[in-house]
Amino acid sequence: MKTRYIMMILAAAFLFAAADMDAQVGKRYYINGGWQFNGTPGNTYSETASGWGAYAESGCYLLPKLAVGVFASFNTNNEYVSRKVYQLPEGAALSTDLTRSLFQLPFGATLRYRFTRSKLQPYMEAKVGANYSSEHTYFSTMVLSDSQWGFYASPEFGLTWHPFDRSNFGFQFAVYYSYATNSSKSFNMNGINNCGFKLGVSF
Amino acid sequence: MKKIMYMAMISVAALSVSCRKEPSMHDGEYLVYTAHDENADFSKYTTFNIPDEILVIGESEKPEYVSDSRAKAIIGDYREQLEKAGFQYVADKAAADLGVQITYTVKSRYYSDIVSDPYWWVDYPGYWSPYYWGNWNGWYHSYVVTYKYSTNALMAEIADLTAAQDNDAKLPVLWSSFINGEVSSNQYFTMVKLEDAIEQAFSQSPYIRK
Repeated sequence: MKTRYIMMILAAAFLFAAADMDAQVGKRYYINGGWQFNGTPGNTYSETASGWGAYAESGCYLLPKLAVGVFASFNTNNEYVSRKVYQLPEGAALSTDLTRSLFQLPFGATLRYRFTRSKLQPYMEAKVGANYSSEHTYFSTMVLSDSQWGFYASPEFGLTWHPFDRSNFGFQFAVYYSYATNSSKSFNMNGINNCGFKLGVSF
Repeated sequence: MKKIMYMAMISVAALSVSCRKEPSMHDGEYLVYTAHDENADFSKYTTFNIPDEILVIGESEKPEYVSDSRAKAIIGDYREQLEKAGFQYVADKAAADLGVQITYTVKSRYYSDIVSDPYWWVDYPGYWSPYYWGNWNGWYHSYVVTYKYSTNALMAEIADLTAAQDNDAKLPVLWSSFINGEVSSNQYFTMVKLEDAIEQAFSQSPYIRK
């Protein structure tokens, strides 16, 4: 008897969830992707803002407003340093201009909460995962480089807009902050702060 | 099926943008690296000599000595900088306190590595011989060279010709410079940039003063 009641409750919950999801705008999944603009405030290696980036993410609504998913993105932040003389150890000196290039590729899991289930869906999202970063210092004829892995965490606030009745096609805009634990002793970098915005399409 | 298609479209679009953006900004001038013996006192030297040829390590396995107009211009630039620093050029190397040797590499397969002992031209198909300057049996660098280079590099060294000579003695090198960069298709611009780089090498070496 007890088992029967439990089964009835679970069945009702699933039916309610399914019915509720069929009534929402869009599907039970979401697929977003597009362009990403990223800045690295306070970064001791390359502190710039750059639009050389992109992202892709996808998820599934387990509850009407709560989804879990995955994400991946990449960004390059290049900082040019005009010519100057660097005093090196043991009496050496180096005169050169250079460009410091910081490339990041974070990926991992997402937890998204949407505030509405209408055509316009503001949401907040938490992302956690790993971050691969590589640093390249470009001189005129050679490159010094280093790379590391780190832990990545990011809160994000955004919205998706699906203006068409007969199509699941829509748009996405979001702002985010992130922190990655990647550190490089070679380039005196200890952790990476990022902030930026995303602009893309949503399905 | 649609989900897979959408994901594939977005993934392709995202990846079609070159993942890492390589920079293209560069001022076009040459990189100049210098290193020296911190214990050397250049003020105690008076005269210097420079061979009228540049050692060129190029296509062939054997080094070549070149004395064309470009080589003469480069040699003239080094002489001018040392004279500005207060040293006097002498034609007889036996009478010189300092010897300056200049080398130019053409091909990328010739590279230098970080070496502290004994020579840092290990495995090169040729190098200035210490016997050119006198009765020294090898070279001595008191300092570590922490620079790697590949193609189109102009290197110069200043050796102490007042050091004691015998079959076991090594000729001390007091100063090394490396000028590295892309060769312009226009020879004039290449020479102008080299001249600027040679001047920079001495500008960042204020200890080279009589």
